Amino acid sequence: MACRSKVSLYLYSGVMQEQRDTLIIKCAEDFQHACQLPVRLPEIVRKPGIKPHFDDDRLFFNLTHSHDLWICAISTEPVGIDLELPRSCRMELVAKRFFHSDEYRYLLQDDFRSFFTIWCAKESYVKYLGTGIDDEFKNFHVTDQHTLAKQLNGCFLHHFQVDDYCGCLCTPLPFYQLLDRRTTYENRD
Amino acid sequence: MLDVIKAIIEDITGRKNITIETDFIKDLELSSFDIVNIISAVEERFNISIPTRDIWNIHQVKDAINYLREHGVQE
Repeated sequence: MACRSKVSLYLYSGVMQEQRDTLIIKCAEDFQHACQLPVRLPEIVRKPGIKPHFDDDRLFFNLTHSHDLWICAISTEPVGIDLELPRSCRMELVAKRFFHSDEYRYLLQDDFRSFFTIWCAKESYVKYLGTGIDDEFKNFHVTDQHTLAKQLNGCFLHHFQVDDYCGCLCTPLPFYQLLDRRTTYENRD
Repeated sequence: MLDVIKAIIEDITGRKNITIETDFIKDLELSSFDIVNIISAVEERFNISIPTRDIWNIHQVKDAINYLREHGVQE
């Protein structure tokens, strides 16, 4: 049965920069087959100041990578995704500078354990919007006093983990699927 | 100023051989978070506030140096 609205995350490792666009198209093709949508290989449109997108307004993508991992989100709805490997950094300095006061207070109570969880949620949201990190980044919050918000302005914030990495997917859809293609991707060379 | 900025980048990214021409995205493939982390450290070290919208105009190490000089930061 064809799906009407869906978001799939394609997880790979070892993707080289020059292979990126080929793999995005491959993910889109796989998504169209899985959703029983008419298969038409989209082209990627990149223009300064505009979020990269397909030339098909019924299909959306967003990318993230961290160290060796690479995730391409493909959806029938706009989507934003971020992945980070938690690591030592000046969390308090960054949080004071870039996070909302509600988020900063949350981290103080949390001993900064959720620092990267909050970062991923914020970045996935601005990637969903297509604005990137701008002066508004500090003006919204992905916490709700004592908890992590599960929704923001009509979008779901799906937090997830892959190995030691944490990530967040921002989408209007309540469900998603993560497809681990690390062992099946053999065309890297 | 170059040495201080190089030290900050090396400390945060673990990458060596930083030069004035090094590009944060093309050469170092830094993430948005890495760049934000570097900018926070630069702001603290030089006691300056860089508007978030200006961060993404800083592509290379020399852009950071020029920005700081244009905004009154002394060597």
